[in-house]
Amino acid sequence: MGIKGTRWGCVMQVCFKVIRQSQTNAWVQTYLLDVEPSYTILDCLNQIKWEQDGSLAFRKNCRNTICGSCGMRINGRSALACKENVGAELARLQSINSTVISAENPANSAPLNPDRKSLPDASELIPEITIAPMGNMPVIKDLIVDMQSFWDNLKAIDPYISTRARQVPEREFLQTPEDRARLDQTGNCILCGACYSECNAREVNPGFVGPHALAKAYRMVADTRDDQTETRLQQYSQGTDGVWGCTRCLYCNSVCPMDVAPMDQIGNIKAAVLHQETIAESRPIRHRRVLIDLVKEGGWIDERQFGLRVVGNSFRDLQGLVSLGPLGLRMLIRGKFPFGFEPSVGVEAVRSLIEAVQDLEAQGNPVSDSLMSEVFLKG
Amino acid sequence: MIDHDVIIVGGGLAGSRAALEIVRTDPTLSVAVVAKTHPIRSHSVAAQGGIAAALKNVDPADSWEAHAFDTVKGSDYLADQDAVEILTREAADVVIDLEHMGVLFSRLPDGRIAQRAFGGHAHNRTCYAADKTGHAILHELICNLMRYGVKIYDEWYVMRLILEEGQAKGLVMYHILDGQIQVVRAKAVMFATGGYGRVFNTTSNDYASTGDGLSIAALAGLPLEDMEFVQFHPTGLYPVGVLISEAVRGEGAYLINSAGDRFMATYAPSRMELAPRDITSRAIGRELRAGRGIHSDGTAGGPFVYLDLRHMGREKIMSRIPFCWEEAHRLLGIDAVTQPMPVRPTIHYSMGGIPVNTAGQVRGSSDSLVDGLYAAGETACVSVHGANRLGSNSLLECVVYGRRTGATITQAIPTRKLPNVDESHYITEAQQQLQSLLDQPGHYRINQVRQAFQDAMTEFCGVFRNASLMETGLAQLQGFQAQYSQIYLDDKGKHWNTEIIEALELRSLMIVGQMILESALQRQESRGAHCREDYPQRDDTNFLQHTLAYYSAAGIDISYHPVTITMFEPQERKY
Ligand SMILES: Cc1cc2nc3c(=O)[nH]c(=O)nc-3n(C[C@H](O)[C@H](O)[C@H](O)COP(=O)(O)OP(=O)(O)OC[C@H]3O[C@@H](n4cnc5c(N)ncnc54)[C@H](O)[C@@H]3O)c2cc1C
Ligand code: SF4
Ligand code: SF4
Ligand code: FES
Repeated sequence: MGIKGTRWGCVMQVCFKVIRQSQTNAWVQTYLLDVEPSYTILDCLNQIKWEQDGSLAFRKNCRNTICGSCGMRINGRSALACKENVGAELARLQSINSTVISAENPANSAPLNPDRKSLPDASELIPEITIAPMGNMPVIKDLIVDMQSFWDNLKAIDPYISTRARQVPEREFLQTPEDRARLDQTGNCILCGACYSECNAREVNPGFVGPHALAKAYRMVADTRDDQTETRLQQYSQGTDGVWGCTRCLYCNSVCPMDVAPMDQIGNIKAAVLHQETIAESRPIRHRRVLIDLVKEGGWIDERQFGLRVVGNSFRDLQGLVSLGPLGLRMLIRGKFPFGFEPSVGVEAVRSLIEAVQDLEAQGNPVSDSLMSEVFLKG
Repeated sequence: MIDHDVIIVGGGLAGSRAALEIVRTDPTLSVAVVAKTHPIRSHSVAAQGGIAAALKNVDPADSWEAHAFDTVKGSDYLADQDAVEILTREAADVVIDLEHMGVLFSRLPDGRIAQRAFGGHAHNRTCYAADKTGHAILHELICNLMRYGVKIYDEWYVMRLILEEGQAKGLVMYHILDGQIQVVRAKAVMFATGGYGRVFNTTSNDYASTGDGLSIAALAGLPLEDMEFVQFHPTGLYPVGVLISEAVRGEGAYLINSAGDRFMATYAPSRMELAPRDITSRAIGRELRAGRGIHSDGTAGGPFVYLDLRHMGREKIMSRIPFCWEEAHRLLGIDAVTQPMPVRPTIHYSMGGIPVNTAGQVRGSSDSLVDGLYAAGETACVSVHGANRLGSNSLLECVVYGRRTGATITQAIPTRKLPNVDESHYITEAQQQLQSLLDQPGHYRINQVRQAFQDAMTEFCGVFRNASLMETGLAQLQGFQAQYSQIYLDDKGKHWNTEIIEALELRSLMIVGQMILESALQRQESRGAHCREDYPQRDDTNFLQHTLAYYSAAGIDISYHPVTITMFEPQERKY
């Protein structure tokens, strides 16, 4: 069971502050626990539930970071309770505190306000760990959130391989280890909701399907077995529900416990979409397939090929391009993408932009992906 | 009352594969899956090592017959060989079907599915997705359930089976969200509720593996088969119990004792670390007893042995078994590239379960079937694992028999009508059961009773068993059952009250525990995972047969059911 005997460390007291909620109330409840640094946050919550307060509600199952049940906010950011442990949490808090202190009191300069108490030495206090429910989803009780929209949004991207249009072989589809490796990152998603909980775009735009769904979407685009790439790219780049709704706040990448890096996957889809458009403009229809070929050949967009076929086309200076070398090419390519928003951009600004686009659409002016990206670039 | 053509309890590999089979064959049927977790959180998601099938991608000498032989030998000849034949013959087919569905298998350089070595398998036939095979398969299956519009009741707890006049008519289920109780009526009811690892104090299983389906069947008067066969996995990470996959040994890790010896040389010289699980677990048990275990400070005489990966090198560890490295690092702060990992046996798998035939129909007794009731997966006993399961045969069983059971159900539905059910009686009964849990004054916390019960099961019915130990265990169990009526709940509401669920699960655990102990006490021989110190030999004359245990408030009745032997005559089992 959770904890038997002792693990490898010393026993210490930690104060857990849990943001609780019932159908009628919300409050902060404090629990004092004797724990070891190696105990996971889930071990601690079990200890609360089993020994102090059976009414505390949270989800759990595998206690081994694979089922995705135990997403919650631990000291302010969404994470898995069975992945984070007490020792690491306290170390993290300490480093945040010291950054705060040094920011407030730059080295070698006296405190700006000598009356203001500096943060007390951690060793004098019982350390605190704060636990709250995930965001962007309604709270049902305590740490339990209603994940219906999360599942619905996953469903919205058609999260299954389609081979309808293909001749299905008798044996397995062949997929080289390199093709397969391109699916590692997205394939690792455990659908825990941590990214969704922190997503800036979800906060302001109820239509946005969310990072988990778009990471899965890229898995579908990059999987050599799927035959709906073109349709998928169109679908994923509609309005602000798909990839163009992402504000590039980076939170999904930073909280994801499985290194899925949803924002990067969104970037990959955008690359594929823009590439598709460029080709469609210059050599209509016939060459729309080039992109799909590119994806299918290698499961992703080979940057060199991409550069040659897309960027090379607009600059018509192949030699110059080649002389840029791989790094220069990459920068050029990146430059085409909407980099306009950094985490610091206010939520309000994002919302108004999205609304502006939606207004345009509502007035019957379809907003093309490129216009969309322009809007974002300007933003 | 809710009506469906088919209601499936459990959304792991077995339940979701069955549901998929039904809707893919006949999309007009109304199929529902109910699970107390979200199906994607089911225990199947945690399976690491892989799924066996004689694809011959790495080993052309492999065949379904060889796979069948390994399985039967691994089972200590208690498996039903007709069931094993189906399992191994259909293996390649179901794995290819999973691949076509999109499952992310690891690949060989030429693009075919990769296969690795696994304990008890004489050929390299385990297909895998790095060390997240269960995750790779389950996620694809559940996304496909979304695609085909299977109705999912997630976070509903099934409390009982409605079985009248020998016919399964539906279920009573409880909505964890708001305490709502519903009766579901269906033409076919299927159980795929997984295992019961939580009966013991150290297990690789998730929190939901509480044997609910088994206890629901037992309470309905149905027999449970071969419950004495409980698998210990040799390498549970000490002290937490989480699994270090057998794939780690498949990739070349060593087991060493306090003297630094690879002690498997004494117990299974030909297979070494890749001997079957029962043998390896007992070997570790014997090393610990002989004082060659290790303490946390590295001295001899302690409670664990080492699993040593150091000779494998960082690159291989990180590319083939990254999750194993991550587990040891996260839970113990150990870098397996430079440090050995502490391990000891952990309860892992239940070979026994609800008896079914090879079509997935539940047996009401040795010679009868229950109308309208089906089961598959770990909760069922068909029996392909007999007295000991080989690694990577369980996911296979879930998929092969999930599919078969789905096919049986699809065929049966057209000739079946929705049964008549008087729901009010069932609802009142369920309400009373819950209300009395909420109202009882009591003075034990759920966890106190559960922990004491789990400790007792582990002590009195562990790797090594004997009559006096088990009799003590049964006597103690009565005490815990008496304490059950004196537990109290802090949470008196019906809004996401997980204490109610834990209390109901504790009841399941105790019923299953009693079935295990009684079945084990009656089997006076040693076979596979069942090791009796007072009866150290296998006894084919008296016990080459399956146990059927029937539960009643008055006690447990044991009878036996013949083993089907079609291909391989029982021999002594040596590795
Ligand atoms: C850590 C680990 C690793 C493993 N690795 C491998 C491996 O590599 N290869 C292999 O072949 N096998 C492996 N196994 C074994 C294998 O994973 C399981 O036997 C198999 O996944 C069981 O699947 P299942 O569909 O029968 O049940 P589960 O996946 O356990 O699903 C049970 C379902 O029933 C539901 N349920 C249970 N009770 C109720 C109730 N009262 N009401 C409603 N719903 C209920 C649950 O919510 C869940 O959805 C491993 C097991 C463990 C523990
Ligand atoms: S992308 Fe990462 S954070 Fe988001 S659901 Fe998947 S695993 Fe969780
Ligand atoms: S980067 Fe995009 S998808 Fe990720 S959290 Fe921010 S807005 Fe959401
Ligand atoms: S309990 Fe499964 S991911 Fe944490």
